[in-house]
Amino acid sequence: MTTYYGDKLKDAKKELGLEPYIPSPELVRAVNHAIILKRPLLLKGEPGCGKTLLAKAVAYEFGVYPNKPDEPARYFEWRVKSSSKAQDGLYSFDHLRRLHDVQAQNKNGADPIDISLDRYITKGPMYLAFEATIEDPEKPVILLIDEIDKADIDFPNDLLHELEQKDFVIHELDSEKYPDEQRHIKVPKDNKLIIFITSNNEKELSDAFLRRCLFHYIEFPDFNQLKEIVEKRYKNLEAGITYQVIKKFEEVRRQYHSEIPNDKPPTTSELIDWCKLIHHYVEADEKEELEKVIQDPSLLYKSENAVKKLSSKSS
Amino acid sequence: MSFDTFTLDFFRQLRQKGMPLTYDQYGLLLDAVRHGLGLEDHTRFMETCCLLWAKNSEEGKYIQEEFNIYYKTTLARIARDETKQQQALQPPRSEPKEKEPEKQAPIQGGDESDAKGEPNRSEDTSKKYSEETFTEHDAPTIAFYPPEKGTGEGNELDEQLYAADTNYIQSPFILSDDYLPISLRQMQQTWRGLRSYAAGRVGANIHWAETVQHVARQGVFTRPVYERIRENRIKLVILIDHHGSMTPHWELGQHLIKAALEDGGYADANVYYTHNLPIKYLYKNPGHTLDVPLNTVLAQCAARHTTFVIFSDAGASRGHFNPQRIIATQDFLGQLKKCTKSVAWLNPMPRHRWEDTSAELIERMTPMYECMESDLEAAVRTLKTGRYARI
Repeated sequence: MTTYYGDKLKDAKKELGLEPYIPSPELVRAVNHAIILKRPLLLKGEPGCGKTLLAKAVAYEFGVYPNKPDEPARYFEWRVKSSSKAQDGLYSFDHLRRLHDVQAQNKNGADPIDISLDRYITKGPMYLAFEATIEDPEKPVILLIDEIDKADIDFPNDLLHELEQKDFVIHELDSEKYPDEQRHIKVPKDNKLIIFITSNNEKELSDAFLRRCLFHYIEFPDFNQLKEIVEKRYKNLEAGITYQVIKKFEEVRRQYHSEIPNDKPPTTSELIDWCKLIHHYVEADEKEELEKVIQDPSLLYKSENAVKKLSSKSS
Repeated sequence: MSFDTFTLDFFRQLRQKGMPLTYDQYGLLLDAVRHGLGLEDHTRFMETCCLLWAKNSEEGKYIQEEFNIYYKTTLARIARDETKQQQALQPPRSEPKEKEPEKQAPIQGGDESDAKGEPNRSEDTSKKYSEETFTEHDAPTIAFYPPEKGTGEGNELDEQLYAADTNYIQSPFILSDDYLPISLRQMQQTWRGLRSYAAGRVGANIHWAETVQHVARQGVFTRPVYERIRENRIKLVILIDHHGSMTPHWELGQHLIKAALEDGGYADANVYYTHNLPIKYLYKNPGHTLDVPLNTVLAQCAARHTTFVIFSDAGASRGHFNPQRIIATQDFLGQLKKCTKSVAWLNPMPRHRWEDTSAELIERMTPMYECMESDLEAAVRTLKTGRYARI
C-alpha cells in the first residue's frame, strides 16, 4: 500500500525548484485516506496556505515529481480557468486541421497525408493521467485539478462520472476502425491514481460532486509550524530573527481580525515573501536595512485600508 | 455495544439533525474501517468521520461537536448498564468481558489483523442493526479501547468517562445565530434546480466541429457556424415582506436571497421589499427609500420566463384572519399571474399555523410552501414548470 509520510519534502533540494513543504499530521492522514479509498481529495483553505503545493509535495515523495525526461510523465496539472469546460481536461479534437489536411490531400500532385482520426486528438491532463495509470497501474500517478471553483457551476458536475469511474469514451473515433481499448479509456480498478482538487470557495460545489470527494480544510499553521516552515526555507536565518518575525506576523493577523475583519489577513505566502526579503539583507550583510525591514511589517498589508489602520499601530 | 451499532447510530443521528448524508457515505466509512483507518482511538475515528462526511469546515466542526456529545452519552449509558448488570449478577465477574472480544470483535488500537476481520462481520450483521443489538447481555465496551484497558476494574471506566468529559469541555462550542429550518447550502442547491438552459443568442466564437461538418455537407466553405451561448432563460424576482410580524424571519429571508444571488446562479435576480403587501410601490432596499412603481415591475416581467417568489407569512404569525388582506392579496396575485410564468409563496411559518388565518385562504389562490428543504424543492418545481407541484 502506498503511504504518504509527508516528511521527505522537508529537505527538498533547492535546485529542483521545490520549496520545503511541512504538512500537519491531519493533512498527512487525509492524503492517506484518499489514497486508500481511491477518492479525490478536495482541499480548501485560506489562499496561500499550500493547497496547490501539496500535490507537488506528495508527488515528490512518491518520486514522480519532477517528471523525468527519460521516463513517461506521472505528474499532471490541470489549471482550471473561468472559461474551462470539462471536455478540456479529457481531450480536444482539431477539426479544422483535419479539414485542411483532407483538402490538401485532394489536390492534385500533393503528397499523401495521414488523415487517420486519432492524429487530431490533443490529450488533456486527465486523459494523460489516465493513460499513464493504464500503462503501469503499479506506479503512483498524481493529477492536480487546481481551483475548480473558477469555472462555471456546472463544471464539476460534468466531471462526476470521469472522477468516480475513471473512464470515458472518445466519440470522434470511429467504432468500426478503432478497437475498443483505443476508444474507451478505462483505468483498471487496482490503480494508484491520486487526484487532488483545490477550491478557493468562490462558488459552492454541488452535493453530488462533494459526495464523491474527501474533504480537508487546511488550517492555518500555528506558531511552531510557521517556525518550521521558515527555518526549513531559510536555514541561515538567526533563530532570534525568525522568532521576532513570526511573532510580528501573528500580531498583524490578530490586528486584521479585530480591526478590519472584512479584509483577508496575510497568509503564509506573505510571511515567506517577508522572510525572503530579510534573508536577502542578511546575505548582503546590510545591517541598517535589515533592521528596518524586520521592524516594518508593511509587506503584509494588502489593502489601503490595512495600511491606514494598522501601520500606525505596529510602529 | 458493537462497533456497527455505534457508528450506524451516530450516522443516523447526524442525518436526523439534518446533515445531508447519504447511505453510500456510510458505506465509505465502513470501507475506511475495513482498511483499518481511524481505529487508533476515538479522536482518530472522529477525524475520519469528518474527512469522509464533512463538506466544509463548519460541517467538520459540527460533526466533531456531535461526536463528542454522542461519545460521552454512549459511554455514560454503557456505564449505567454495566452497574445495573453488576447489581443483577453477583458477584462481579469478568467472564463476559473475556468472551466479548471474540463475539463482538471490537476494533483494537491500530491492529490491522483485527480490522481485516471487520468486513465479513459488518456484512453479516448489517441486516440486524437495531436496538436489540444493544441488549443487557452485550458486553459494555466501546470498540476503540484496547481490551487490556477494558478488562480492568470499574475505575478504568471512570477514567474513560472523565477523559471523554474533559474532551467534551475542551471542544469549542459553535456559536450560531441562525437556527433556521433550512441551511444555506440546501437553499443554494435548490435554487440551482430552477435553472433552465437553452441555446440562446449567437456568440463570438466559431463552432469548429459544426463548421467543418457544414463544409463537408456543402463541399465548399460558405460561412462559419458560430457557437450559441447557453443561457439560463429563467428570470427570478424575489419579493420580501418584512417589518412587523415578519421581523423574526428577517435572517431567513436574507439567507434566501443570498443563496439565490451568490451560488444559486441568479446573480441578476431582482429583490424587492415590502410591508405585508405591495400597494402601488415596491422598494429596492429594506429601508424603503428606493421605490419602484408596481406597474413598472410588472411591465418588466416576461410572461414566459419570469418566476416570482413571495416570502411572507400571509398573516399566519399573528394568527389573524383579515378579509381585507385576503382581497388585496387576491388582486395582487391576479395582476402578477398575468405577467409572470409562475408564482410561488414561501411562508416562514410552519404549515399547521396557517389554519384559520388569512394564510389558509391565500394558499388556495397560489402554491404556498413552508421554508423546509422538501417544500423549497417543490416550490422550485412549481416555478420551473408553472404547474402546482406537491411535496
